[in-house]
Amino acid sequence: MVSPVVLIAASLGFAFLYPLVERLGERAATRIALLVLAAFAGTTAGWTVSLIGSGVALTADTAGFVAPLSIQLQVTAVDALAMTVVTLLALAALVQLTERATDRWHGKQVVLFFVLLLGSYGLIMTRDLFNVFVFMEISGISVFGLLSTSRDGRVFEAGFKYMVASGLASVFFLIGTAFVYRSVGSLSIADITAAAPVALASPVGVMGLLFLVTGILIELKPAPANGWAIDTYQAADPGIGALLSAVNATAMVFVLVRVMPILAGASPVFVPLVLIAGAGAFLIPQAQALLQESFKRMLGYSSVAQIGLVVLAIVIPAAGVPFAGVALAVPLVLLLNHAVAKATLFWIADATGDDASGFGGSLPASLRGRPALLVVAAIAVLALLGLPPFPGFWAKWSLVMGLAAGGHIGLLVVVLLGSLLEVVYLGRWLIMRMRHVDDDATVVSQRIPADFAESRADAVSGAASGASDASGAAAGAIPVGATVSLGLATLLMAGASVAALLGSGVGMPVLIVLIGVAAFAVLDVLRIPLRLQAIVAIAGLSWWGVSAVSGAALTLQSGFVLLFVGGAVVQLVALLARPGRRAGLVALIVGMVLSLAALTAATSPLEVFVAWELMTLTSFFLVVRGRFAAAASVRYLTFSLASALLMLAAFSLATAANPAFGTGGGVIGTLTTSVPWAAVLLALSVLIKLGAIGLHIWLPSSYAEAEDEVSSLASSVLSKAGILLLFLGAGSFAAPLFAGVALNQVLGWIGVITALAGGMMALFQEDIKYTLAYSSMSQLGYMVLAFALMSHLGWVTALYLAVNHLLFKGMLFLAVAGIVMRTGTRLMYQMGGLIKRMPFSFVSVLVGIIAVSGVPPLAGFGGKWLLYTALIEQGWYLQAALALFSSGIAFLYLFRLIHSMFLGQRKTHHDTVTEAPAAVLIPQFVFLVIIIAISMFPNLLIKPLQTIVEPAFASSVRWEGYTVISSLGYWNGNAVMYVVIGVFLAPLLWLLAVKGRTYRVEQFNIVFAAERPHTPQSTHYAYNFYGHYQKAFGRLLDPWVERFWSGVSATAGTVSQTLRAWNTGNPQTYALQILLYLFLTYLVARGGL
Amino acid sequence: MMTQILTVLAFLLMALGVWGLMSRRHLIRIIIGFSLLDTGVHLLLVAFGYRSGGTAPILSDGIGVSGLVSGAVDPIPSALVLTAIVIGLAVTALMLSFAVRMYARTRSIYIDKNKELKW
Repeated sequence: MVSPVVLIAASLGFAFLYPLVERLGERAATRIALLVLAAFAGTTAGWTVSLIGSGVALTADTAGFVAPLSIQLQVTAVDALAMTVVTLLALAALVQLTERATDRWHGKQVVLFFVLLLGSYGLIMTRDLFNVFVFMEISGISVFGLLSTSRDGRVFEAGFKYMVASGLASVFFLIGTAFVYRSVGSLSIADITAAAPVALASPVGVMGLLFLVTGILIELKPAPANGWAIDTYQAADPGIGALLSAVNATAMVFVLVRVMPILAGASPVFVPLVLIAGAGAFLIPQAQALLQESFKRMLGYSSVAQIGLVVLAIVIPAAGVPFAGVALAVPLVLLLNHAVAKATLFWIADATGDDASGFGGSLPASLRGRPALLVVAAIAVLALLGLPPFPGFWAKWSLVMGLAAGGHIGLLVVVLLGSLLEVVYLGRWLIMRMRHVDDDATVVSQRIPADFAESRADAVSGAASGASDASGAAAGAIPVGATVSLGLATLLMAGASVAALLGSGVGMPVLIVLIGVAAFAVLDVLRIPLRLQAIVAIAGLSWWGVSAVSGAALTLQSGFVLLFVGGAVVQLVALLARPGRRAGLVALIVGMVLSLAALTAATSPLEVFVAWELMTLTSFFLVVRGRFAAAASVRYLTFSLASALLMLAAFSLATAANPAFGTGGGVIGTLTTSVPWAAVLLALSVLIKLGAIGLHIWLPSSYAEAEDEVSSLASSVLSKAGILLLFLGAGSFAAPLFAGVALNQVLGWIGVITALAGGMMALFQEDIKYTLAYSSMSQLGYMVLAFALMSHLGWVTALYLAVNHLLFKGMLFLAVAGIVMRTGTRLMYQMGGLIKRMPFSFVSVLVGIIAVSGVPPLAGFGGKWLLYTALIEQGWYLQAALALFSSGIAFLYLFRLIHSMFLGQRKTHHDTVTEAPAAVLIPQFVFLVIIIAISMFPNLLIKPLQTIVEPAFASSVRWEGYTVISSLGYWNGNAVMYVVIGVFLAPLLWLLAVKGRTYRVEQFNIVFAAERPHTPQSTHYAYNFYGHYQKAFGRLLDPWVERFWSGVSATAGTVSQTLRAWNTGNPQTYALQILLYLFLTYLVARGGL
Repeated sequence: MMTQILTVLAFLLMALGVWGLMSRRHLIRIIIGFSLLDTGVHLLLVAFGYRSGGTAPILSDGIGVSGLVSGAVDPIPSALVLTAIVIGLAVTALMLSFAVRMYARTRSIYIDKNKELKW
């Protein structure tokens, strides 16, 4: 194998030779430089391959001596892997920097680049303490030299600050080294480590180590003493930002890794010290980043935060699959994941040439028309956020499990909170990049145009926007260099993801999700038409669903698979209605459905969590496609990932208490935990996903602003994931929590209040999609209520409601999709009289609303009967009364739906409207037939649901033919149907008989005179339909929840503002902060003042 | 004894440097403060290697290896200091050149007029 010394010598040698090489011409010289880097990459990759698994390290002594007389260089498998990634990123960086449109690197820049690389190699390989200092300085000086070549004049100010700070860090490091040398008499790290427990345990030794570790930490740019680094990131050429973040910082972490055994050996104070430093370095910048308007500065904050997380991970042993027992795997994976992703983002900033973070006044141009760049950006952001399937995800999982296992609850909170803040600002950037060009990212509620005239163009649903997506591609082409480097980084990330995924031990269902998404993405790239893709998806999912459940007994798992896959397959038919390209749509839907299916099949908490995250991601990307969905998807992403993080916390606490937690797989109560906090967190996580009252503000806008087909899928199918999770965690909620109150009682109240509040909010929407979205919220509230009963009948009801909701909400949303498609508006008062033009849609909506509202004879009635029976059985009378009341409200908004849309006068411009396309009608009528069937023969549905619930509860109802008999009464769906038909038939016949005597009111029989009103819609009867109720409810309808979350957001903003003001921009303040940091580490080490 | 005196002096020099670094507004003075700080560290390293009455660590005919080990000052800190001085020189030169560029840009040599980047 090549000796490590060669790599150092070659870097240095090439740096010196480069001016000569450049005589061959600038282009030729950069090509040769790339070849040299490729050779380096080959060398390090060779080391990695031969060292991995062997347990030995490659060692080289210099100058003909052996350590400690010589400086020893050593490469372990971990080092080799890191060096490979660093070299590949350096290679990509050099391509990017030498092949871009402006400011191409050449001459001294390439020389300095190789010196920087040399410094980084040295930091990773050297095993000599003083040599670390030398390499630190070599890296530092080359960075300063490179900085001075940036175009931005502010870089000198930033560089000066950087020099002051790193000078102080060097001083600390040298003082530390001096003390260590005095105590141990050697500079070899191996010798020092061996001698540390004895020689360095004295107060003087600890003091020296304190200086040493502070010097290293400052070089890692820890908050709150890192303003100089942030300023540098902001001013520097993004290419240098990438090098700093991906190459330099990565190498510096290895210094801490080397020194950690010395510290731990010398004194027990250092592990907590490093933990606190890491936690602070992670959390503080995440908050500071929230309000950044410069993307580079924001990335700077993100970089220092990520390094903070790595520092934390160095001292926390991993726990749980997949990295348990592998030393340093977690920090290494986090580090490399960060390096690749962050470099990618810096390169994108460079390639697109704008530095807007998506926050504040400046909105960066949409990248919608540049799918390739968007995919690369999305991969980088998701990887940074630690989401599956990227390597950082597994590391974060192991880290969090390790934190919980070690009882570091405070740190757990820090990690999760920091991660959430990161979601907000990185997610916001991505969403602003992905948004439609028309979207000003403010839409979170219905929009009522000021006048009729503007309404048509303005209110068109997102789904019609597919064709105009390309309009975002205004900016120039991406330079060749950036294309190559971004491609290389993405390949690296993809390769690492596959490796991590295969090594993680998650089962086939999770893999199938990714295979599915990838397969359909390939179809997209090959420009296979949407219709064909949809047909393939329908066939594939049907086959997959059938093969997954056929032969299997009916359980919670197979039941939900049927629900998810069946519901989605039917609705996929609607995609056939709209030809044309809609990139990624089918792939994402397939991914969402498969991840839901994976959720049912998960056999470990890790698998549940992966499936949950994949479901969140695929659905997020579906929501964000909507034309005005940017603001809504910020909420969606933030709340969904908050839900995921709570779940992660719950799982980690539960696993820490009971290692067997969650390993059952797909059966009721799999995720049962006896840890009260874990149960509360799990419940909270699910409640967010279900849009429970108080946590619902993401729901209406996300469902409503998504494309129409996506709305129906999200509302009917996706929303049931939370219900599944409730059942999986069932056992956690029944135990008394405090004062004898069990969690399920709380859940019940939350459920019924959600049902009520959702209904009330649905009442006052003019926008039909918002009405349906709030209605979904309300219906999910019923399901939570029924589930919370923790009784046989309650659970059957919950599942019954879930199935029923899937059917009718899919139907309603698709009917609305058809109507919006034809009329071009979502506002109900702009519709009216459509019954004759769109009769099939009318039938579908009619059946749908009868099914929702719980009036006889359709399935909704059965649901309500079951619900009241179950509630009264358990003695929940008050809840039953509230549920009854909100049913009444549901009827009101549903009545408005049919009244405003189909009845009354038709607008003249709707005279030529035609029926919705067959492809949209077919799924509706499939659902309709099922609804009628289960209404007439309730046993078709209720009996299987009983089978599902049976493992948990013995049956409390019995059957006689079609009649279900409970302790309180009976319901015969068949008979109810006949009675109702009879009841309706009589008046119908009467009306038909008197038809001749009716007087038809024509459109212009209604006349008003005088001035044209300012808001003409306000004179329309269907506008503000329930205004009188609005007055009656009064303060009850105040948007308290919106206000609360605005307050939360404002508070976060204030905190961020306060924290970032700490970075004053004055080098002397920064120097003072560094000195204070030293003092702080001293205080921590002393254990107080 | 000499080592102690040198150590105290080294820390005094460092303190002086830090004070200069923190209290001066003029960029050049800040850099001078920084150099003092550096020199203090160098002094500390030398102090730690010093042995009262020790000989120069040169292997010559009169003194064997054992004599060198028992009687000479430790050569390693001296070697380290040489390296550190070189590095310090490079950093100081860079700082000065950056100061020149900052002055060229803002027409002010004072630190508080050179803080555009913040928050």
